[in-house]
This record gives sequence, structure tokens and C-alpha cells, in this order.
Amino acid sequence: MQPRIIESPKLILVGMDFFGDPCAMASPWSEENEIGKLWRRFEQFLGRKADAIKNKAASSFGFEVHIETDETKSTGEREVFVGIEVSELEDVPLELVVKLLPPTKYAVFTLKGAEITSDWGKLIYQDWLPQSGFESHYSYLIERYDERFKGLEGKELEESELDVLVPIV
Amino acid sequence: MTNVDTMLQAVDFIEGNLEEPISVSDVADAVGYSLYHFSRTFNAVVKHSPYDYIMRRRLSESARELLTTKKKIITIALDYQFNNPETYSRAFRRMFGMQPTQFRKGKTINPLMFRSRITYEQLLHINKGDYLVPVLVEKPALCFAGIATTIVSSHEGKRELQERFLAILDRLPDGMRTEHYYGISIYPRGLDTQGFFYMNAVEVERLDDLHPLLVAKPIPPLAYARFIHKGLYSDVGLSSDYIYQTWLPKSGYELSMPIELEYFGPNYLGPHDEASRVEILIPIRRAEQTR
Repeated sequence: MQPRIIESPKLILVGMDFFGDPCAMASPWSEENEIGKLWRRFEQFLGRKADAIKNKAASSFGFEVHIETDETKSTGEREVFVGIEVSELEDVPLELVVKLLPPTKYAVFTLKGAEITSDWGKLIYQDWLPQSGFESHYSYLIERYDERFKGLEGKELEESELDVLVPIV
Repeated sequence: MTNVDTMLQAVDFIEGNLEEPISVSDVADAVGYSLYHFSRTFNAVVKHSPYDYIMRRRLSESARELLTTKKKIITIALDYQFNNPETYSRAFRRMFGMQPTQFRKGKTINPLMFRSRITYEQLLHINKGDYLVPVLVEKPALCFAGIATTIVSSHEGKRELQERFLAILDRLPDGMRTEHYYGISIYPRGLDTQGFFYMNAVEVERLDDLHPLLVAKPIPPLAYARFIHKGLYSDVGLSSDYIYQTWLPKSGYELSMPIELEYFGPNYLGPHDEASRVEILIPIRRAEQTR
């Protein structure tokens, strides 16, 4: 898996946030995990009030940011943020929170089909990173969704692509 | 290696380190997964978050030691990686609804509440499909008529009673004749080693003409979580283990009465048919907030 390296300016994202074990089932009555639930909530908001978000960036990416710390490693918990990019902060809707990501270099991995549900975290951090000449810069990563992503099941997954951005220095 | 095989390795690693300061990240390393992929896979296969599973196993083993050893409570707490007796007490109370001291002094815990080490058979069973996703149902007052026994070793006893019951099913009085029947388990003292009361029965409208060979059992109106057990009837314990040890603790519900109903309805094809389905109904109410 070979990434391309990009320089990114500061990213200003608005969206919704979750802290905990995101893979735990959202409720005993559903099979959807916390990340799926977070996206549903955010999409419902966009469906109702998309215009409430000012200065939307030209890109139509959906950002899913995973933030890990030493403390969360002991429990498997993490912060997961989902949102979209804005060019400038103005009148952020009450329902949303803001995430600022620093200007940094990213290694961009494009995952295709079954790679998306495989253990790519291991390939990136244990296989690629040590021999790359780079070091991990911040303890977060971005899954960047766009129209190339169709879904996580069967044929939809086969035709899907997903970019994973790892901050490096 | 399937995911089930790898998660079983993770479970083995956890079991070998219940009294060691391991983190979820260490377990992921032990099976060669990244932390995130591990957490995702463990949740999907074991149906507990890794951290929840580790804590429940530590607490269950610590409870066993409270009863079977004379170790000080603080020693047990530290052995199982709790920072101090207060943290241990809080966690213990959250899982079992009482303090470790109360348990040691003889207050009983319903054995259904312990988290046993999850087995390969259980993992395969709970990953067969979404049969174990419950539906909430309300039932009016029910009255059952049938035959009953007290069972110590669960499966054999149930099978024998069922054979006796099926033999008399054809000879039941007119109003009671049906192909569909229930298995009712009643745990008067919580389920303990003294066994439980088990009854095979059909639902009846009235009690006044109960046949002298039968016993009756009225049950008040209750809310139930209804699960489907699919597969051999001899594996029904695998479904029960999941329901009581995995589903119930994180559901936000608790048992409202110490009973369980099995319904051998139109989808029940006999004890040896892999495609056979039995409904399992457990009476529930919203859990009191003890946390």
C-alpha cells in the first residue's frame, strides 16, 4: 500500500462528536455501531438544516476523524468526530461542534473494496510507517469519504474507495 | 484463521492475564491487530466491547475468590488490577448490585449475572445470524396447564419431561389440544445449584376444569424480551448464556420475575433439526439506576 504525500493547510470542520468505544453496538435493539449512529444523526441534521452551515467549502468530503491518546489505548476507547469542511467559522449551529486540525503533511492511502474493512491500521502504522522515513505527527487520523464510497456491504463495498489521511512529519 | 478463531485467541490471552495489568491495546498486539481493527472485530464477534469483557471477567473471577478463599478484599482487588478497594467496590456493585463485603457475608448473587469465560461454541452460536436480536413484547395474564418437575442438571431433565409431555399431548381434553406448547422455567431462589422448577404446558383460558393429572401456573401480565433460538435444542444453553451474560447487562433492563418461557411454536421442528426455532421470552423491566 503506497500513499501519496500532500501538504494540507489548517482544516476547519463542523460536525458531531462521540467519545467511547465506537464499535460497541449503539443499543441492544440495533446492530448499528456508534459511528454509524453518529453519521445518521449528522446526515439527519444536514437533511433538515444544511443551510444553517455557513461558508461550506467547495469540497464535498465527509470527514471522519479518529483521535486516540495513551489513556484511551488502555480501554480501546477513542474520540470520533464526523463533519464537513468550512472555509471560515461563522454562526455555528447549536447542534454542531467545531474541530480544527493543524496544517500538516499527510500520507494519503486510497483503500479499495475489501481493503476498507481489512486491518489497514496495522498495514499503515506497523508495516508502512517504520520504513517510510516519516514519523507519525499527531495521534489522529482522518477517513475522508466522497462519492467514490458506496457502502460497506457486498457489491457496494467492492466498488468503493476511501481515502485515509495520516498526519506525518 | 477466521475472525472467530482470532477472537478466541484474544479471549485466551485475556484469561491468562486477568491478574496482570494488561490494556486493550496489549490484547490487540497479542493477536497482531491494530487497536481499532481489534476493537471493531471483538465487538462484532464477542458482542462485548473488549474493555467491558475484561472487566466483567475480572469481577466474576474476583467474586469466585471472595467465596472460595480467605484472601483479604483489598488483596483480591489489587490482584484483579483495581487501583484501590473503593474502585473495586464501585465496579463490583455496578455489575452485581451489591458490595463485595455483602457478597462475602453470604448475600447471594443470581448465577445468571456472572460472566463466564466465553467458549468457541458460544462464539460460533452467537455469530450464526441476528436471531438473538430481541423484540419487546407485552403479554396479558397467562395461564398454563401441563406437567412439571424440578430439574438439577438442566438439559437431560428438560428432555425427559418433554418426552412425557409429548406423550400426553394427544390425550389432553378438547379445549387444550394444540401442537404448540411452552417450557416454563422458574427460579424461586434465583437460579442456584438447588435446581429449578420446569414445566411443559399449553396455554389455557380457564382453570376451573383442570384435568387432575395436570398442574396449572398463572402468570401476571408482563413485558418480555423475545429472542429466537435457532438450531439444535441441546444448544439452547448457548442462547441463554448470551441473553443473560451479554445482552441483559448492557440492555438497560433487568429481570422483573425469576422466570423464563420457551415457546415451541410453528417454527419448532424438533430437537434435532438445525433449522428449528424456539422462542425464548424473559420478563424485563427498566433497570434501577445503580451506577
